Amino acid sequence: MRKYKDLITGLAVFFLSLFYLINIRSVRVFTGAGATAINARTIPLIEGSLLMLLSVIMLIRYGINARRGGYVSESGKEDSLDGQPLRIRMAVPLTLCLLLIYVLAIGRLGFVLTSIIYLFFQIIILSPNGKIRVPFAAVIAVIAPVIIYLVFVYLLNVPLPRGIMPF
Amino acid sequence: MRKVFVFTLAIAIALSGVWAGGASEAAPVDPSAWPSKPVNIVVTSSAGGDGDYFMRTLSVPLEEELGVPVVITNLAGGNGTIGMDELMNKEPDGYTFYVNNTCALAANQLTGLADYDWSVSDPVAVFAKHSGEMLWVRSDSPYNTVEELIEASKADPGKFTIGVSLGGSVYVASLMLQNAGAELSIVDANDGAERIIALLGGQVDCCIAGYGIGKEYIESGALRPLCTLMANRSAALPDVPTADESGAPGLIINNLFVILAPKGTNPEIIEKFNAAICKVVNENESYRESVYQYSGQEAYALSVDDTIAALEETKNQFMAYSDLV
Amino acid sequence: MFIEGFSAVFGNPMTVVLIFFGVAVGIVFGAIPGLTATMAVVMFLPLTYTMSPIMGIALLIALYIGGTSGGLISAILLNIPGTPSSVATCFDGRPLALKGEAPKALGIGIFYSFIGTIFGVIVMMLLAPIVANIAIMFGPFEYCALAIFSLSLVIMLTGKDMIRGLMAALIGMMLATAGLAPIDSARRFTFGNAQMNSGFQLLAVLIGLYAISEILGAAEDVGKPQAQIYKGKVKIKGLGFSMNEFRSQISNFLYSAAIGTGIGILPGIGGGTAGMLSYTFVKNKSKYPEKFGTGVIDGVVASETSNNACIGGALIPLLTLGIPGDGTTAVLLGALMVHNVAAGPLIFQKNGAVVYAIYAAMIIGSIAMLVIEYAGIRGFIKVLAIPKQFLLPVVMVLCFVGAFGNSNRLFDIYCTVGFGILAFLMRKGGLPFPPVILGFILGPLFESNFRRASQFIAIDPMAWTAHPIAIAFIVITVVLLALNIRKIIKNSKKEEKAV
Repeated sequence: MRKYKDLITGLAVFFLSLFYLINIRSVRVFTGAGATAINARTIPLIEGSLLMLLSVIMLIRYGINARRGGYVSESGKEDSLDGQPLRIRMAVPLTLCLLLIYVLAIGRLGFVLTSIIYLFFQIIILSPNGKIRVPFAAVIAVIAPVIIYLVFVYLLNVPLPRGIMPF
Repeated sequence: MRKVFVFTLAIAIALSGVWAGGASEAAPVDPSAWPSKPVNIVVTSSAGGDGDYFMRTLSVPLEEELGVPVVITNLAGGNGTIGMDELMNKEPDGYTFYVNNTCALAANQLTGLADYDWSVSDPVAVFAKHSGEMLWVRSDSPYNTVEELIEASKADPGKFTIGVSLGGSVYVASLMLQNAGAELSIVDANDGAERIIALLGGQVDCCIAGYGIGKEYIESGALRPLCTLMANRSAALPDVPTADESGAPGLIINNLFVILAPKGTNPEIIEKFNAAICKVVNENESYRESVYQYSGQEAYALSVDDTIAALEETKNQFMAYSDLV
Repeated sequence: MFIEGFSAVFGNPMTVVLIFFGVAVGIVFGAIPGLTATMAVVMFLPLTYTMSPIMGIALLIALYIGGTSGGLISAILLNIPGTPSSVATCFDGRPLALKGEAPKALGIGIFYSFIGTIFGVIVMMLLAPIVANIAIMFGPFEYCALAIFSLSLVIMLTGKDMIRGLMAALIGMMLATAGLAPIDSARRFTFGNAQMNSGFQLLAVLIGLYAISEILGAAEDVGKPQAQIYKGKVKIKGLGFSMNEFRSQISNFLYSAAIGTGIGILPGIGGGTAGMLSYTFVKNKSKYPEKFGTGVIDGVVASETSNNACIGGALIPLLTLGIPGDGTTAVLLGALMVHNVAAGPLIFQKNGAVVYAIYAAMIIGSIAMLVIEYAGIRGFIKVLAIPKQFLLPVVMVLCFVGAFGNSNRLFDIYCTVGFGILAFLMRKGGLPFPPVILGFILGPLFESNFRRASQFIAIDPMAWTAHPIAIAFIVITVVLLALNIRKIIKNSKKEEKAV
């Protein structure tokens, strides 16, 4: 995986800059008094083009180095997660999913409920092997959002998303 | 096994939440109980400007009058369009209002910054007059009237620069100035305070900015107003002519600050709010005193109908210039 | 007036208590990622209406000082900047904490925040009118040149892989173009979504890049054995660092304080940039630049001195010109207006007492910050002893609260997670974060001033010759770039020879 890093990064950035440049066309140009040749499209054009150029340079660099055989696949250096339980191996994707769920649900379920769900599962996901303490997780998962909610909404007058919940 | 458990449980909860939700309907507000919780007012310009000042100063006696806290926040950007975007998507529950000004609304519509006019909202009240836009020059400038400036610019077209904020009412004012014969170069110099600094620093030869922002510089002797863009001379500066009477006929920018409610707000609530505002503005002595000190004008508020009339009038005035833009 | 102002603060115990309270609250706001000094000032502003102008403004200044300084706590302990000003403190603060030297890192951060603020105050007290005139001289040409100069420092910040560093900076700049364009407010990359009109918030970018990466990083490391560095009682000797260390940092301090104050004086840039610029500058002139990022106190000194000196700097244009330097000072301007203090050229004549009261409040506020933060050091370090699986998720929830509370929109929470995913991908691709932040802040500064300058060039193509300051910045930039590129080429040739 490591030896393709430059290739993947270069390609990804290339397509990102392409997407960006394409969308510049929809930017409206001001044509009233005081308008000059440099308008709302100019700088984005320059920035997008530079980024695309850099990604091409990176791809070229990859090509040159790959030909020279400069990318030795480093074996064993990266901590292998084999042999760990599934939960630990999937910790990163699970966390990402959990964050997405938080974001999608908070509008509907409101801050308190969503945070309780999130905290409970996130704590479990982050617990080291064999150290999952469900009761602890549950207690913190419930107490923290409630305290935060009370402090912010009632003490500091900062509203938090309510969703369909009454609180 | 655990992963599957975790996964499906979380997704099930989230999905059920999303599905069970549906659009949260605003509970019908009982106008006779209004206000029963804090009123939020969003100022659509940044802190430190005229609108922000008037609203914050007004909020103190207004809180007393209404009996609930009045919470002021700022949502600046796009000459008020960002605030208006929020207004157009807000539930009309009678507890969130927006501060804007008649000229910004009209100018945005004129220059295309906005594709709507004031009627996307329910106006509550005009609650203050802008301290008055003025045309400023440095005190060492050889020009004493607008006419002289216009003449000088004709002699050397494009040489003199005027600092404005593109797309706003100050920009429209500069277009009107060009229409009156001036041949200035219009440049953007950011917002009011920045335009004054640009003038002080010599970057532009003149600029249009509010009296409230520049008045300290009259006293310190650094700047001089050539004229005021209001319909009548300012009470604080009776010797400064209006643009209309000194070389740019028709150049009148009377800017009024207005509180708007999301469309569909209960009319009774609007009337109640308007009544409270008018009462404070017309009767509260310390508020009137602060306003006069700041802007040299009498505190000023209008009824709901007069507010709507003022908005419509400014809109028509600006839209008449559509060929200039 | 001098006496009146000073005695209103120093002599009035109520005011002093209020300042201590303000600093304490400010520190809490600063330390919690997602909550910022600006939020604190906005929240307490209405409370000050009923106070006398001096007391009200003293409170707000205390919040400002506490809020700016508090960010170092989470930056060092959690690698998440508590406020945008503390981004650069993460670079070396966190490695120091990981090496077991958290007391030293915190001690340095706190102490140099203190003397950084005092430096800014002294400049404010002695040089305010002169400095104000310099601020007036900065127009679009000068700002544009300054932005170019600052962006070029990105190259020095990233060191080895210049391509990735530049990519990251450009990504930051491109993210900042989303929203309404400067000057003509054209909609860019909003995809029809009205909420995109205000663009991405810096806070969402910061939280997404730093906080979410932290939690993803912890998820990645779940399977690895964790070393618990901080157990039992943590001792801190005196200020946390030695006299020798202090002496070695004197020049770093002076440079960083000067840069910080200077950046503060120029409206629109802010403490975060000041911190990063000072860090880069100090790293560049250091005898051991390769050690930066592994935990050298120089990095923390540079960042914390600078972002606090920025406070004193930012107050100068606020008071003497009525121009706010950043979001927090904008609210302060509003506060001054409501209290009938007219910021501008005549503030000394008309409201001299308030000005001197502000000086006094800043001095007391700095002392309060020093005292409160030192008192809390042991408590802060105990935070490090909390197992990650409990600490990070709760911090994450707080971050979301901050992101939401900033402008009260769910959209900002969506953005935060979006940036978190971007950060994850960037880390996989090896793209560094600091240039993204620099690009995000400096991009708009560059673009709006470039466009404004181009207006003047359109009128007179030789207009740029009248701006010696701008020309000087560009020349310095070119020279520094040339020197650095030469250094990099030399180093890579050396590496090739060694291989």
